[in-house]
Amino acid sequence: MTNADIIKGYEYEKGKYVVMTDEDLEKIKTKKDKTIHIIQFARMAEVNMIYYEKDYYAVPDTGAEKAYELLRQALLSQKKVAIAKTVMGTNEKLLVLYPTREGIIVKTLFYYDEIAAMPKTVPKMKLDENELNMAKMLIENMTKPFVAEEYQDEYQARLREAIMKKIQGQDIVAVDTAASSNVIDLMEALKKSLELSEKKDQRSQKRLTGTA
Amino acid sequence: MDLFSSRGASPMLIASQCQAFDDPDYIYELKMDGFRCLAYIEPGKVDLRNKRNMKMLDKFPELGELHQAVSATCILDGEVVVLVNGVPDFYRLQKRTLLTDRFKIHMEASRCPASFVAFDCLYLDRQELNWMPLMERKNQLLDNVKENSRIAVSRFVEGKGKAFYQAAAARKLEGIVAKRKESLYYMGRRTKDWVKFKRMADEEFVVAGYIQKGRRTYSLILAKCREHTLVYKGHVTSGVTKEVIRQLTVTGIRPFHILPMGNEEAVWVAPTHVCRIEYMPNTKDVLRQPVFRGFRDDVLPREVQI
Repeated sequence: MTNADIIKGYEYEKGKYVVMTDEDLEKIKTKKDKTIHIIQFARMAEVNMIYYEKDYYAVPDTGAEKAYELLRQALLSQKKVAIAKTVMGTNEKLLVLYPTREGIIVKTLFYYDEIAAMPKTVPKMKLDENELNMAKMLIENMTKPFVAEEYQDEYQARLREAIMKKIQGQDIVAVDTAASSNVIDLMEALKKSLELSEKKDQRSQKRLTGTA
Repeated sequence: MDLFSSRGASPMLIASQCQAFDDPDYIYELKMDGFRCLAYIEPGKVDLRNKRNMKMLDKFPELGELHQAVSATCILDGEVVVLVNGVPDFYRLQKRTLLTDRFKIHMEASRCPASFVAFDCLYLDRQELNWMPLMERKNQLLDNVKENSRIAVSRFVEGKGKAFYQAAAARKLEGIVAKRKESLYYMGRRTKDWVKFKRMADEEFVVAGYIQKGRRTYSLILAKCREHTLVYKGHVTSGVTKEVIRQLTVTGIRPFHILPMGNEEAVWVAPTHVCRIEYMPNTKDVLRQPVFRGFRDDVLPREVQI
C-alpha cells in the first residue's frame, strides 16, 4: 500500500462512510493565514470560563513591538480583552487576547456549539437559614489568597524522584570515566599539548644547532 | 534604559572560513560546537538569551546559578555547550532545546549538564565595554568570573594559530577562532577582526521537501532564500532519519520555479525549518559529503539568504 491508496472519509454511521476527495476538501479549505484578526473587544468577565481551552504567550515579531505594546497598554487601561480569530493548522480558532503586565496572553476558546449542556437539571432545594450560615462561615474561615506555587502534584513528584534515582543508578554503571565532562579540562589539555609541541620543537632545534 | 535592562545587546558575529594563520596581533581560541548566548547576570539572577534574543534558561535550568560565579552585574558573551566523552556534542545540546516537558529537561540537565564558556564581556557595572579593546575586556572577564563546573572562561593562545588549529583538528573539534587583540565589540556585525577556521564547513539551509530513498533512507531537499523566493540548493541524505522527517509539515506545494532532474518523487513541506549541514570544505560552490547536523530554532528561514 502506498500513500496514493489512502483516501479521506467520514464515518457517518457505523460501517458507512462518505468519501471526501482532495477536490472537495480544497474547495472548503481555510485560507492559510498566520495573522490574528481582531473582531471585537469585550470585558474579560463576559467570556464565560467554560469556553477556555489552552493558553499561549503572544510575542511580537521584530518590527511589531510597538503595535504590540500599543494594543497591550490600550487593553490594560480600558480593562478590555480582544476577541479574535486565527488559523492553526487547518482549524479556524477563536481566541481571546488579554493583556498582562509582561505581555499579551492568547487563550483559545471552544466554540459555542462545542460545549455540551449540563446533563441533568439540579433541583434548587429549599435550605435552612442556619445551615447556610454555617456553610458561609466555614468558607469565610478557609478563605486565603490563592498562590499557585503552593500546590503540587505530590504523586508525580514522588514518581519523578523514583525515576531519577533509578536513572542515576544506571548512569553510574554506564558512565565513561576516561573522558572528563568538564570543558575546562578540554581547553587546558589543548593548550598544554600546544606548549609541549613547542618545547619539543625548541629541543630539536637546539640539538640541530648543537651538532652543527 | 541601558544595554543591560533593555536586553538590547546582540552578539558580534564571526566572519567565516579562511586558512589558519600565525599573527602576533591575534589571539586564538577554541570554537565550541554549541549555542551562542549572551548571559545577563546580576546578583541573584541570570537571563540567558540566544542570538534571536529568546530566553533560554527554561531549557538550561542548571545554568540558573551562574550569578554565583560572577562578582558584578554584567553581560557575558559565550557558548552553551554539552560535553559527551569529553568534547562538545551539538546533537545532544540540540536534543535538549527541543524538549518542553519540564521533568525531561531537569532529567537531561542532571544527566548531561550544559556549561557556559564565556569568551567576552560587553557590559560591566553599568558600563558598556564594547569600545574597549578585546584584551582589556578579556582581563575584565578573568577578574570577574570564578570558574566552576557550570561556567568556564575560554582559554586562548597568542600568535600560534596554525599549531592551535592542528591541535583542535587532531581532536576532531569544530575549529578555532582568531580575534585581533585590538578588536572592538561590534554588536550584531561581522568584521574581519574575528575569523573562524573550521575543520568542516557548515551552512544553514531551509528544508523545502524530502524524498524517500529506501525503507529507512530519506534525502532532504535544501534551499536558500533570495529575497523572498526559495532557490534550490541540493540534497542531503546522511544523518537524515525518520525522526527528522516526522518534524516536517507536508504541504504538497512546490516552492521552486526551476528544479533539476531527480526531484520527481519529492514531497514538499512547509519551509519553516532551518537545518545545519556540514560538508567537506572546498573551493567550488558544492556540498561535498554533506551531513545533516540538526535543525536550528535560533535562525529564521528568511535569514538564510544566498
